Amino acid sequence: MRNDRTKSQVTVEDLLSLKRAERPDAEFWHQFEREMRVKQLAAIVEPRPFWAPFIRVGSRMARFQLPVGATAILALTFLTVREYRLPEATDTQFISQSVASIAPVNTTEVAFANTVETTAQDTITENIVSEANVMVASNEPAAEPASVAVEVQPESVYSPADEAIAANLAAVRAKTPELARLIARVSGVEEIINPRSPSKVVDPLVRVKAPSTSRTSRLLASALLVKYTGGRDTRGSVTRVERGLTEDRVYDSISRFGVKADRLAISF
Amino acid sequence: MVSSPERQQEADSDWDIVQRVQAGDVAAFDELSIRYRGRVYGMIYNMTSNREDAADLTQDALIKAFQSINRFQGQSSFFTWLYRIAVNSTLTHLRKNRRRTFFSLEKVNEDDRQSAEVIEALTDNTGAERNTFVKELQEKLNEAMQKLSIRHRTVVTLFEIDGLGHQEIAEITNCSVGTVRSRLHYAKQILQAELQPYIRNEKRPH
Repeated sequence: MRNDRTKSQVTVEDLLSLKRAERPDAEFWHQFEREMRVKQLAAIVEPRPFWAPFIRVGSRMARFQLPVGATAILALTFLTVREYRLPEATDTQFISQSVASIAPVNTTEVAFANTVETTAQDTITENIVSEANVMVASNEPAAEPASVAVEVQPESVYSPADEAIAANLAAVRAKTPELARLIARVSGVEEIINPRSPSKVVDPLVRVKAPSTSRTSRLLASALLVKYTGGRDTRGSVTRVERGLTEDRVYDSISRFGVKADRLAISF
Repeated sequence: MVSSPERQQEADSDWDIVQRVQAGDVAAFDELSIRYRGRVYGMIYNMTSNREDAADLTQDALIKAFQSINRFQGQSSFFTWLYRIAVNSTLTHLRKNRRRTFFSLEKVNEDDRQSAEVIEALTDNTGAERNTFVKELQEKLNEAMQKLSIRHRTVVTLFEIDGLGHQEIAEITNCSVGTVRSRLHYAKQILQAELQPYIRNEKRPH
């Protein structure tokens, strides 16, 4: 108590000092001692849980929580950004992988087209590819270097369905070249062969077709039974082609068409 | 941190006993327990305002200290280390039982000169009326303490009731001295408002 405090002066500190006088009696401490002894013995006998050392280690490592957490967040961010950019960076690699996956399809389809002469088909397919190459190269701007044409390989954009169509077209060309040219011109096979060519610039007015052309395309579509599915399962496409486009059927479809001068006759 | 020579002497004595316990003399811990159980109990009691809880928490704190005494390296005084264990146990208990507030109060020892002066300053009554007034004042004091947040209550208990210094409180509560001062100032303002009817700032006319 302060010496200068008068008898009638009472402060918060004086009131709080009253709490120091709240003390237990002696009996309380006897009871406390007994309970304490029991608990102490129990603590000695009781085995410590197996995870107690881990808690101790964790409490010692508590000071490193912030830097470790920040490092983990940075690493996660870096990995996320890196993974996000990966497809863009390896676009060429992806294309080459696509080409590698498509390559066996060519051989399979050659095997499937028993009726079509192998040498002729290869030659025609190569011609189509080389034509597409030429087309891509010719449509390149003059200022652009040839490296773009090297990076974007035309073969890589072929879908299995495109390959099947190309094989069919090759077979048709082998038998009736005129009809094949007509089909190619009318149905726009060049676009199907290379639908995603980034360097091909097409005048929008060229895409506008006359109504008669579209009607003809619809009628001719029945001859092309294999449709583009967008999938890359080559075995599935080969199976579909084997199932839906036999030699007889191809021949029957072709025989329905007749070209005379500027007319196209179709028999149903 | 040891502030006064008495505390330094006490800390040296404690360190000797601790080394004996660490060497395997388990019974030596009883000396430490008897030496500090009253102060630890008082601190916990003033924070919880419940004598049963205070007794349990004091025992738990002493047993924790006993179990962990091999890890005590003497970087602080044993008293500060034991108080830190007790404060942390009490804070955990209070946070778990935030809604439960049962008062179980000790009797005010009026043999204490300081408290007798305060009571005499507040009332002229004697006998049963005086006892009733003391009881009422005690309840008001505990109610006011319970209205403080746990952190503010801890600082007020350690400074005003246990008489620890700011630096010791900062070590025990693991915060800065400035924070201790700030919490103490804020807590006193609240207590002053709560205990206004019992505060006498001027001389009473006789």
